[in-house]
Amino acid sequence: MKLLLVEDDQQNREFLYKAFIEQGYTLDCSEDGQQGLMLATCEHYDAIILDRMLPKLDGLQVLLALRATGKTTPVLILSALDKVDDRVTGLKAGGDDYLTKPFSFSELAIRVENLIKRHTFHAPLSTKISLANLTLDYSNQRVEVNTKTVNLQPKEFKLLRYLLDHQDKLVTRTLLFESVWEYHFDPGTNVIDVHIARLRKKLTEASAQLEIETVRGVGYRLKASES
Amino acid sequence: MYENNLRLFDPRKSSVWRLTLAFAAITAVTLLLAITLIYQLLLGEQSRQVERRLDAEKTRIEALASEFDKQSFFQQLDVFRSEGDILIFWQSDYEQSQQLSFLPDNIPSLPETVVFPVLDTGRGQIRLLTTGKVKTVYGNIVLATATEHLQRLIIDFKSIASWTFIIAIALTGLFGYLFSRRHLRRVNYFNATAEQVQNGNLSARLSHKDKGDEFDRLAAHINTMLDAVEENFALVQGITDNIAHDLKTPLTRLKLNLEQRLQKLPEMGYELEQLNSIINTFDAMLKLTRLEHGQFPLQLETIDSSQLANDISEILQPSAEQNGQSIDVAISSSWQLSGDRNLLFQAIFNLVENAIKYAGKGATIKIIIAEKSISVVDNGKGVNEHDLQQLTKRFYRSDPARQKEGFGLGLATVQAICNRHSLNLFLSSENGFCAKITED
Repeated sequence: MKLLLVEDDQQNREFLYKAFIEQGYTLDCSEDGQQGLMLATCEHYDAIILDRMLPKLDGLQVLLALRATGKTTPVLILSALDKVDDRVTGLKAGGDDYLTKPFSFSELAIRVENLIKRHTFHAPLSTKISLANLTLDYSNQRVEVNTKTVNLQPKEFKLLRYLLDHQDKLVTRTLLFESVWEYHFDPGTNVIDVHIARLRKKLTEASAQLEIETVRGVGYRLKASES
Repeated sequence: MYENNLRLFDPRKSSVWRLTLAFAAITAVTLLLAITLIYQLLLGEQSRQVERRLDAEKTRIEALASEFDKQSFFQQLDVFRSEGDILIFWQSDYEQSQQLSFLPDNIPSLPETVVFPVLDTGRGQIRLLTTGKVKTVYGNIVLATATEHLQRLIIDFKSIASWTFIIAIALTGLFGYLFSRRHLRRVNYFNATAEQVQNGNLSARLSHKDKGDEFDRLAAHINTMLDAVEENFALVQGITDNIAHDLKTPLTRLKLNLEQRLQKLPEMGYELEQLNSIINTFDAMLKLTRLEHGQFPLQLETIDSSQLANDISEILQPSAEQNGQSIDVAISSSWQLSGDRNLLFQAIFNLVENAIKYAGKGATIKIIIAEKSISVVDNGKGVNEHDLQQLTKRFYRSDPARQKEGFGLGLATVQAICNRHSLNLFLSSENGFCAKITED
C-alpha cells in the first residue's frame, strides 16, 4: 500500500512518515501544495493524506485540481478547523474523509485503512468474522460463542462488528461513534465507556475468550484473551 | 412582548407629552388673560359708556324733579325724549308711557341696569334695551337705550373667543401628541437597535441624516461607539482564531508523541486524557464562535426528530442508569424538520446530558416530541430564575458546588445551533428543568 502525505509541518510529517512505515505502508511525502498536486496526479497512490493549510497551494485547491484531472484516489483531509475551513466544504470539494487536528495516530491509521478498503471494495468471501471462540455473522446478525448464540442489541452488534473488523488495533471513540451511531460527534469518554462495559459484560457472561482493552486517552482494542 | 411594545409606543408615556400638557395649560391661561383684556378694552368700555350716559341722564332727571312741578317736569321729559337717543318711559297718573305697552317690574335703580328685548312694532324687529330706573317724587322714570349692536358684539365676541380658546387648546394637544409620538418613535428606534446589539448583533447601526437634529447627532455618536466595540470584538475574535490555529500544530505534535509513548508507558494515558480535555474545550469554543458568526455551513437534510430522540435515548440510557435515572421518549406527533443532522443531534444530546448531570439521582428525564417542538424535561431540582437567564452564556455555571466535568459551553452551543436553524430555545424551571426547542 502506497500513501501520499502532504503536510507542511516538518515534525508532524516525520512522525507520520515513521508511524505509517511501521504499519507496513510505503510513503511519499510533500511539504507544499504544488509538489503534492504534482505527485498526486503523476504517481499512483492508494490514499492521500492532505493537510488543509499548505504553502504555495491550499489543500482545497489541490483537491479540486486533482478531482478535475479525473483521479479518484481517496483523500483524507487534515484540518486545523480554523475560520475558513470546515468539514462540509472539504467533503464537497471531493474529500473522502476529514480529520481535525490535533488527531490521534490510531484514528488516522484506521481512517486511512477504511478509505482504502472502501475504494478497492470487493465482496468478502465470507460474511463471518471470528476471533478466538467467537464468531460474528453479519448476514444474519448472529453472534456465537462456542456455537452458543449471544443475545446482543442491534447497536451492541454493530459495536462488536466494528471492533472485530479492526481487531488488535486501537479504535478511537469518535470512530466507534461514527460507525455505530452514525453521527459525526465526540460524545465524551464516559458515554462510550458504559456501552463498552455492557458489551464486555455480555461477552464475559457468554465466556467469550476476548478482551476489550481500554487504552486511556485513546480508545479501545479488541484482542483474544491471553489464557 | 406585544404588551411591552404597546407600552413603549404609547405617546402619553413620553416626557414630551407631559411638556405638552404643561404648555397647553400655560396657553390656556395666557389666552384667557388676553381675551379678558381685549373684552375689557373694547366692549367693557362701551358698556360702561352706556351706563355713564344713563347715569348722567338720571342726574339730570333728578335735578329736574327737584326744580319743577309735576306738569313742567313731564313736559320737560317729553322734550328730553324727543331730542336725545335716550328713551324715557314713565308710568304715572299724569300720563301713561307711550312707547312701551308693558314695563317689567324688575328694572333696577340706576346706576344698575338690565338688558331686555323689546318688539319694535314700527320697525318690526326685536331690539335690546339697556334700562334702569330713576326714582323721583313724581314716580319711577325708566331710562333705556338701544344697545343691540353692543349686545350682538358681546355675544359674537364671546362665541369667537370660546371657539378660539377651544381650537387653540385642541391644536396644542394634537401637535403635542404628534410631536411626542414622533419623538417616541425615534427613541424607540434607538431602544430597538440597542436591544439588537444586546442580543449579540454587533453590526446593528442607527440610520441618521448627516446634518440632522440632536437625535441624528446622538445616532452618529452611538454608531461610532458601536464601530469601536465591533472592531474590538473582531480583534479579540481574530486573536482567538490565530491562537487556535497556531496552537493546533504544536498540539498535534504533542498528542502524536504522547500517544506513541503510551505503548511503552501506559500511565501516560492520564496526560493524554488531560490533553484531550484541553483540545475538546478548544474545539468546542471554536465551534461555538463559528456557529455564532454563521461561519459554520449547514448540511441540510430532512431530520426525523423521533429518530433523533430515540438514538439519543439509546446512547445515553446506560449513563442515566448509572445515576439511577431513566430516559423516556414520548412522541405525541411526529416532527420532520430541515436541518444539519450532526448539529441537531448535538443540541438534543447536550440537553439530555445536562439533565443527567444536574437532575440528580433517581430523576426521570423525558424527551417529548409534539407538533413542531421537542422538549427535554427532568423532574430534578431545576434552577432559579436568575440562573435561567444566564445559562446560555459561555462558561456560565449556575452553582459552583455543582461543578461537574464539562466546559460550560453546552447550553451556549445549543442556543447557537438553534439560532443557526432559526429555531427557538425556551428554558424554564418548574418542578425540574425544561428545555424546549420549537419551530415558528
